[in-house]
Amino acid sequence: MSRLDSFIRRMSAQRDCLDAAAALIAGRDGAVLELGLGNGRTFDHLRALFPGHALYAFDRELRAHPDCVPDAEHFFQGELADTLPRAAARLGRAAVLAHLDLGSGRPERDRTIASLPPLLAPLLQPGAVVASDQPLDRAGWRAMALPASVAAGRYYLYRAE
Amino acid sequence: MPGDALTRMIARLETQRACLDFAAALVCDLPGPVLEIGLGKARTFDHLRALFPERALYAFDREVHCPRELLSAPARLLLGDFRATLKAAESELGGRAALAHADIGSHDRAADAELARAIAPLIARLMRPGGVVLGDRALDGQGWEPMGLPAGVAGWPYFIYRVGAVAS
Repeated sequence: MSRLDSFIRRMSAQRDCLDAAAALIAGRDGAVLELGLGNGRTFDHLRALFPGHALYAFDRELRAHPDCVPDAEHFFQGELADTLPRAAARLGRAAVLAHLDLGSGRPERDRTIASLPPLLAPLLQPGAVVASDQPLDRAGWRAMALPASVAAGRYYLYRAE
Repeated sequence: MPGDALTRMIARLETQRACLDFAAALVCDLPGPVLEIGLGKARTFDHLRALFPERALYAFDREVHCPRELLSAPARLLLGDFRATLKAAESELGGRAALAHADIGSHDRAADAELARAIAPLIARLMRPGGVVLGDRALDGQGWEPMGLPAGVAGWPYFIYRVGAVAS
């Protein structure tokens, strides 16, 4: 498998899981959180999927394509250990969906992702959906079935309690 | 192209892969090196390596944006402006390349068109008769015959040419 193949597989899994998450929360109001804005591609996809929802993006720095940049009110800049509590204080349990696109491929860095669920939980409505490129472990979060196109372990969907 | 940035990215990459696979099949019996003009993150370069494990690969770009280990031998890296590096490659590659992939598109369509005009004749001098040139922008090489895209590819524009029997 070439790097082109694996990149297509990863992007397709992301798209299919976000589309599945959209179906899981269809008809519900609430904010959508994008943790790891990057170049803004998935943010743009979330915008297309959730036109009536407030979208908030989180990243260490803003380096998204100009077409995919959130306004200042909807962007939390800094380390998630700081920005998630700040967002929770401001927004409360507002989110109906959170998408985590944080995997760096460097294990020592990705280990810190395990510390995020307790920081994220105070932002989630009961029954909110969490989609993630990394596995997450939190009591009360239930792993959901992936779309048929996505192999187990490639992406993760959870329903928060 | 319609759709959001993620959907467009997937359409572009799937088109690119289908066209590379198609082009590789066209030149499977035609010997000669393979050129990647626009190395970028080396995803398509890596795909060309998988398609052509035995062939010499030549990568052209202004600078390297990918992990160096992807460029291990027998790959050759030619850094600089395409106009200069393609011209300089003629002494070594002239009339020998079986396949050239030009991944040169940017957000500036006018600049892309100008670059395509400048490099098409330079690529032409490197190609073997019967070779295949493909890219994400139209290229007007003398004696190149445009080909249809492989079946099932409709999500993104791509351009494939067969180099005529008489090289320009």
